[in-house]
Amino acid sequence: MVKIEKLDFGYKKNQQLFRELNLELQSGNIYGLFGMNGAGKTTLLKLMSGLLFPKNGQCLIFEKDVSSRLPEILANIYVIPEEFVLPPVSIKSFVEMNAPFYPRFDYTLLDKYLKEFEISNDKKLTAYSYGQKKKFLIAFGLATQTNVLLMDEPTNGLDIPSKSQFRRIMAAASTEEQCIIISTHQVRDLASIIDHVIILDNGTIIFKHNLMDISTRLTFGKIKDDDSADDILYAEEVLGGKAAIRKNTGQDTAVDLELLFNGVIKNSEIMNEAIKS
Amino acid sequence: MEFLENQPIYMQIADNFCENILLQKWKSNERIPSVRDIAVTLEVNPNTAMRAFVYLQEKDIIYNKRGIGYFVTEEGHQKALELKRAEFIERDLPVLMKTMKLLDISCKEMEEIYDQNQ
Amino acid sequence: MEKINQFSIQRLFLLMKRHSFINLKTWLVGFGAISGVLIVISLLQSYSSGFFNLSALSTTGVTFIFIAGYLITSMAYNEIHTSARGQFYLMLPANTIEKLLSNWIITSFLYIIIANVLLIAILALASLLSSFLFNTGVEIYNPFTNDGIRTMGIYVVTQSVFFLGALYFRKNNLLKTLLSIFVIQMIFSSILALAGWLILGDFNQVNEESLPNEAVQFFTVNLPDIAKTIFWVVTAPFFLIVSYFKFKEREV
Repeated sequence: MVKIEKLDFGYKKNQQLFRELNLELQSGNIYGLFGMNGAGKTTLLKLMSGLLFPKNGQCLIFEKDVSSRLPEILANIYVIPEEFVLPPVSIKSFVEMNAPFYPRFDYTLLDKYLKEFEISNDKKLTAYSYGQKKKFLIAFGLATQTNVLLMDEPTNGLDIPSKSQFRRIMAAASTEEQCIIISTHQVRDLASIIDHVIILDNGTIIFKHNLMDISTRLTFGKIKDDDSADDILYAEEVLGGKAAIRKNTGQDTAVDLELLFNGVIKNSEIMNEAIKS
Repeated sequence: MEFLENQPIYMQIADNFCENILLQKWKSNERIPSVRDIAVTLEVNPNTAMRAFVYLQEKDIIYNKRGIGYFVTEEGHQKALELKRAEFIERDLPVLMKTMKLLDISCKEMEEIYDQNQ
Repeated sequence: MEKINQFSIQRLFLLMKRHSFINLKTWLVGFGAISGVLIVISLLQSYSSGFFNLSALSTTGVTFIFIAGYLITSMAYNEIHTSARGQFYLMLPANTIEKLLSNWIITSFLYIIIANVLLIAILALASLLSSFLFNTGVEIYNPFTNDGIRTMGIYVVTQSVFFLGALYFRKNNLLKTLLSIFVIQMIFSSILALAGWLILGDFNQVNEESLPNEAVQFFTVNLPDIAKTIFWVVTAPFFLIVSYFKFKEREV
């Protein structure tokens, strides 16, 4: 559904961020795009949505180049940015002036999500807090029912109950026809609702796997300090021992995304090798 | 070297289902919540929730009526009991026995405690 | 799926509606300020001269309308110059042409007509007030004469330059556009002067008799005609087309 082919991009001529980047994403999935600050997550999302143009290569949605900005593409993609300024109008006006552009916009869904997020409908958008604005945008974005939904740090600025509401809404809203990409460095907030892990480091996709494959190939858990084993792929100090990733030898465990992320950043080859074999 | 109790999400969901069946909250041939309902309640990806359903279907504990939903099988209770027993013996018991050994608790002592708590 | 890409009047209206929703405040403030200043000037003028000088006041009013129009045009694309706001506009499912025309129609045609209707009302009000206060005669301004419509046309044509400026420059669009016009005009006149000097030689020795008839004809009749045609027919489409390409390649 989303396809990036041999994409080159850099903000400045001598600073290349992405070089020959390839990526293919399917519908029916929620992808978690992880990476450290400055890894290029936001830039990648902007390239995917056609807000930035690649120097070489292209980004396709339904086989159409996004930089053409054709209505058929724009009507099928919604971006929830991390940084945004909303116009000083009421929610009602905002919906009235933006929703009609989306052929599949569902007003009942919007009401449902706004209710779930506990957003009242009586103020100007500029009067809401950052978290509330973000929740409004998430609700609006989901109500557009676009096939591609890009979210940049959606849980940033959300309070604890809202994060839970967000996961519930995402579990309810995502459909088989949709391809959702959530970029974040807050791994914990979103671990349960994603089903694919993409890790971006220094402009390169160093890891992209199905969570199911990860859990069948790797086990995550705590080991004691004096345990020495050959099959430890990655370990880090924690209270009373080490948290380790090992090859799965028949015991499925929960995927510790934070541990996985650290392991992949340290040495992605080992992890990729272990999952492929 | 053991990993501490740290099950994948789909297994936790499956565990929860088995528990409901063993506690007779869900009876044979009764309809259970949908994949989507479970995903929303537990705040997990629907694909992850689906995995729990597939797992229990493979174990003949639940079955799918196309277009209607998932139901507990006729022998669901029995199968769930067998599954959980096997799991307990394989996974939990060794840990327990190891701890008993470490703390020097005999099986007899254990039996007494068990009887007291009945 | 293909049909959605075609130009849609419905989306054009939606975009115009959206633009007016967001910019309503600026427009109201602008019109309010012009109305206030114009009424004060009218009254001062009537007080000092003893009669209501409609032609002078309407000229002042039209000047204000031009300045305010260029200002509003320069701000027409403020939304896309900050990425925090611009991303929403760029991602809005509409054609680039629709997004361009909607803003252009509002800041050119629609603006000049609304502004002129408003000017009629303000001048009528000022005239009534001044007749009441200073016993002057009541006159109604009519901009929809040949001259008036020509003036509106001049606004629509010249406005297209500021429209491009609104898209091209990220900040201080009005000033930068004015500066560019000045610089370009300087360059243009220098080239023209140079060409004239090369063709005609020393200006001091040129007189009409020494030139062939065709040349006189060219410089006094044809050239002004060409200039007029360029102004009326070419200017606005040219700047709109350049704006289109500028807008198409806009990133955040």
